[in-house]
Amino acid sequence: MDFEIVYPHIKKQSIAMLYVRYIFGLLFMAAAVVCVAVNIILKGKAWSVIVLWSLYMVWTLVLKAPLVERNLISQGVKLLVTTVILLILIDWLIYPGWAAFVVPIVAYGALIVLAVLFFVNVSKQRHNVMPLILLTLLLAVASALALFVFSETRWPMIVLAVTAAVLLIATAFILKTRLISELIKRFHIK
Amino acid sequence: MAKKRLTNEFARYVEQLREPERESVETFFRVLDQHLRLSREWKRQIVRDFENALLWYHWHEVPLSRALELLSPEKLGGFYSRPADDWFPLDAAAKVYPLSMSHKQMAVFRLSLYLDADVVPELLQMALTFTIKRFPFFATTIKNGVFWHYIDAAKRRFPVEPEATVPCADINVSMTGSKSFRVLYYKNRVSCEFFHILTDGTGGMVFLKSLTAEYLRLLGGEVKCEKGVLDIGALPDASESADDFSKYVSGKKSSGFVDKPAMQMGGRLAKVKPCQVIHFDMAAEELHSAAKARGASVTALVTAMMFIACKAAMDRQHGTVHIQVPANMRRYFESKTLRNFSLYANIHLTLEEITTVEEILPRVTEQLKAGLAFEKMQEMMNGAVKLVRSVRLVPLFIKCPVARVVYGFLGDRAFTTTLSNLGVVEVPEGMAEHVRKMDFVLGTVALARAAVSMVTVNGVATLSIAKLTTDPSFEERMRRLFAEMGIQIRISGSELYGF
Repeated sequence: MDFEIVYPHIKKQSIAMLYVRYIFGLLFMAAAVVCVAVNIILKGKAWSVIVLWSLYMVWTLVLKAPLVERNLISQGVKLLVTTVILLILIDWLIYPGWAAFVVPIVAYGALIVLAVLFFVNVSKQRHNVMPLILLTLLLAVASALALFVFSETRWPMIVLAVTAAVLLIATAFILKTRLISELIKRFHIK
Repeated sequence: MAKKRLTNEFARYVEQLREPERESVETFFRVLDQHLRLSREWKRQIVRDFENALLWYHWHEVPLSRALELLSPEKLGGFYSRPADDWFPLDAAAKVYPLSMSHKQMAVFRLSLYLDADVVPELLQMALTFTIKRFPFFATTIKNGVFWHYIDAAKRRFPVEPEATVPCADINVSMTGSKSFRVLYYKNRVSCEFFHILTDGTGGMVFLKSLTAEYLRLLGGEVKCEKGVLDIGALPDASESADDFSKYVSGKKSSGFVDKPAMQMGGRLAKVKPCQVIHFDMAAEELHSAAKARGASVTALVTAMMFIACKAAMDRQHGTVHIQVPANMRRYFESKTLRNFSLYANIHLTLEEITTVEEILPRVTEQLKAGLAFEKMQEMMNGAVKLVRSVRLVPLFIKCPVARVVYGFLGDRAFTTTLSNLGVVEVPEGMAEHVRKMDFVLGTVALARAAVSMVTVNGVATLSIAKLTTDPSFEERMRRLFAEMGIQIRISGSELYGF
């Protein structure tokens, strides 16, 4: 059917991402299957779980980023949580005994970076504060609980728990009533 | 580089003005500054928009006093000077869209208006800057709640853009302050593309008409605020952003949404969505007469034609073709809302029943009448609201994957194609003479190979087909049917974007 073209010519670049994601999806699937198969055939430690988790990290953080609320803070929180899980997996499956010390330090470092991101531009980042609040709350509670479980590696957990608690109080102090309205929005059921 | 050149150009322009004129420009920007309490970047860009518009007026020999009057910062109201604290829960119909969207699928629709001259981007930008404040729930960004998504006010510059992607392309709604709509221009066409969470076709049309009316005013025209053109100087009315589903729901009988899977047209699904858009322009009078001669409405006639075209685009001999026909709930209930307030009827015929337009038209008319009856719509609305309320305490991280799977299995499979007819759009005096035609394009879904939409303005009916396959059988059959009825059509459209 012949007709007049009334739309501009679209550059291939604008649709290239569709194909990039498709090709990477296939490559990731192939890598995942091959790793699991090789691991099962060769037996030994379950290193393929770490590969699978790493592929998942790259897929969710880079190639299939969230469709809603993708910002430095939410992505930073996601990166931290997935990294912590990766570290725990390595400790558990490959080389045990160091995660209780390293994880709080990594979490502390990430928390400081996220706090800096938030406090240098509060007027903009107040819209993205919820993941940070949930993270600090989680870290404060988790590190406080971990103090009772890991009796030998206490100081990183104490530092993390105190930092998270201070950050939580500072955020509440700065946002004041806006924190309440943020909570109302986030928890609405209308 | 181009931006710097323009700024320098504006500085040179101001320098060559006489002293009183220069003072009036300086006062103008001082007042403008008072109206803008945004981040430095947004503020700089809006100021530059004003400079560009003033330069455009200068180049077109509009007196400075007139230009300053047309661009008066008072038209911004307090919109850009107040912090973004407002928020809106999604209406019952909109809740499904963010739940079911994916990287491949986003419910976007597009309304376009063709003017009698090429669009002036500088003035269209100013028109949007002035218009957006009248539509506060459009100046929003989507956010994740614990139980539901919601839209959060976003104070920023909302840019107009030249068309550079496929029509109804996904809108990036993920960043802080991301917009959920876009305003595009190409030659003499102004287009608005909306993520369906914001509004439906009716609300979108009010926005497009109000924007275009302001654009024509900036060009020096006089456009009355009537026939769906809002007075952008007036304060937004709360009823315009109300969720009227909740308002009119009754606790009586409700109907479900689950329907048997429909037959799908053949043709390989394209990766680019839509892979092509085709418009059939025709004289509304001819189409109306053809429908009247057969004792049917225009929607019924086109639906019947679509059944024939669907059959022509299928290889299978058995099964049922379902056509989804959205219904504007404002026809049934007193409503001023500009948000979603539409449901749909599902019209279906088996392939064996689909013979000729004349033969199936009575059955289509009958089903449309029954499907769009008030009681049926009320039941469907009750069902929608009931469903939403029943899952309101389920956290979003559970709802999202479940909704995606359910929508994938039930939502898209339940219909073969869609016909959304916005009907006859009235435009006010002062605007009508500048409007050549309009078109309305529905974004494609996962499986339905074609989405059909229609709008009529100034005596021109435009039927648009958004394609999801390169197989041309559907549109070719539609063209033949129009020709057989003696309706002259002019076809236009896009290139094939991908396979």
